[in-house]
Amino acid sequence: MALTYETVDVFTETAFGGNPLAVVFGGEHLSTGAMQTIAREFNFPETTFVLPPADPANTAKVRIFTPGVELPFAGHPNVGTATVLARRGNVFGKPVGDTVAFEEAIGLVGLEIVRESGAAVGAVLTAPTLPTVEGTFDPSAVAAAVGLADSAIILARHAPAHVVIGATFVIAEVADLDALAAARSDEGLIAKHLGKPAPDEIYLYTRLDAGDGTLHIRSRMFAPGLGIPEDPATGGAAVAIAGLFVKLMDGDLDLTIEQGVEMGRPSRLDVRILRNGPDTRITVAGRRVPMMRGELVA
Amino acid sequence: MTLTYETVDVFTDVAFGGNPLAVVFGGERLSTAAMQAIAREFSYSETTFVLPPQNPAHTARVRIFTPNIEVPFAGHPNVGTATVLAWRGKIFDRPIGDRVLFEETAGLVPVAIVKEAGRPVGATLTAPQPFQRLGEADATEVAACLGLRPSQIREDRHQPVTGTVGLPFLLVELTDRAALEAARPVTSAILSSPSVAPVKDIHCYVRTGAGDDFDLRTRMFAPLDGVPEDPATGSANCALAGLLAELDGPTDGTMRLRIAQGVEMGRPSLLLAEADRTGGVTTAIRIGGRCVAIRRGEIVAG
Repeated sequence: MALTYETVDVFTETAFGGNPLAVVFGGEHLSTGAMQTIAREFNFPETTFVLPPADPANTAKVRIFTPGVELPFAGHPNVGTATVLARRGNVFGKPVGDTVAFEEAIGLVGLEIVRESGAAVGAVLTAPTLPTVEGTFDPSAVAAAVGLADSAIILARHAPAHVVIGATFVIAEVADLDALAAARSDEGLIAKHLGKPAPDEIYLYTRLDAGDGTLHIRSRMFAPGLGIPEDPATGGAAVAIAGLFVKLMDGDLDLTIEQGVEMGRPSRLDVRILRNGPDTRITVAGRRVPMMRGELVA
Repeated sequence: MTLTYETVDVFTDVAFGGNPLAVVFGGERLSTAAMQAIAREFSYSETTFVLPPQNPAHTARVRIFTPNIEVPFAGHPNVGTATVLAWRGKIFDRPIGDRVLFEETAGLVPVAIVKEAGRPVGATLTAPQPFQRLGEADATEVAACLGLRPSQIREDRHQPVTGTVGLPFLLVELTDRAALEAARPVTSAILSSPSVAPVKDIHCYVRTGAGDDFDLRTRMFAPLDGVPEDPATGSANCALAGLLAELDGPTDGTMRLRIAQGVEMGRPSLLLAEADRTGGVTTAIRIGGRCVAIRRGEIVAG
């Protein structure tokens, strides 16, 4: 079967912003090794393969690869893949409606399609599980791992947190936009200061504005160990930081995240924490722009 | 005009090895900034744009972009672009012969098409400028930039030296393959090294012994140019061939080198370098290799 693909920029409304994603169709017969090789060839932060679902009640099985590894779950691949399918209108002989359900390694992932004038422009991802907050990292080690002074890490609200949702995250608040801009992604420094295995993803943020039930932050994400020196928009990390805020704050929260600004790929993620008694739900919404389409000839 | 593209793996005959390249057609009306944005989107070490030549005696004007900047010259983009044009058979309504001539910022770049059984399989380019040494770097600083011990840098034949045939690289001989395998770029050390920071890009190599399939094994690190490691670097290996031609080349004749790169990062590449020598002087440096077609498509974003 011919392998075809579409690429989209996710978490943006502007071409060449956001986070690029390749969505590959026709890969039913590919081995895991072949999928990994194709993902490495695209060299995007993530590449997905849309495969027939095991349960026909679900939309598709979706496998997610960085250039280096397969991920059990990630944010922008889900938002991007869902909107590509909605734009196509049908997949595996069935129409794509207002919601999709993807079978992934972490479990079933549900998304709601966002339409404007009938056209699919984005999607809202509901986190398949709540992140777990596993503990903290030494602030000096985190500062050194990203080339910052100790004083750049803010400890008033939380120490650098170890959060797990599919991947492992270090989440640290930094003093201001200057500190955020000065941080560097250096695999050698991360290995030296955060040990082996180092956490998958380092997520730094600074607060821009806080209101009643709202928070606006800017963030950067480094995952050189996954083959991603810096990621322009990380849905999985948005879920992770929401999981941390669930522990730190009461009530619902609308969290607006700017990411990728320093690397010239501005992105926007709209995160919600919704509490209903003991139940807590985290959603991440984003838009996307179609970029390329083509076929693999190799 | 619709923007179309082809991608190829360059300096290999195995799909998903070598160095990927995107070649974009139909970009006549694009601004430089738009080309840069597309190159960054492709996320390959280089993307080329094939444009009509200013002089109709030439094949095409070729502009080369890394994800971050436009470069005046580079090796794998020329080899890959020439091979893609040869597969297409014609460009701007003229047939592609055995040799193409590209107008580039660094000058006119001739590229010879390599054919087997009449079918193009790759290309060989001639470096646009003679090899030049631009200065030396401190071995202890270089070791720190590569995460190595100073004793793993060989200095008996040459100190780490900046060489160029159009793009400068720091050329570093290492003691053995273990040192080559252990090398990794340390961005903070590069930034803080007075002798390495101005060059940034480090091409390290070992000379192999008898029984190896290659004469040289190399790795190229350019983390500050957005390329932590490059699987096959034509211009760096041209410069290296220029240096070794000075050290080891015949007084008259051609020195030939089989160079492996990208092995440690899982994208094995083979580059064939040649240096012509006359009266003890290098008169031409060439680098060549094969290419594999990987994907083709169109850019739909406006």
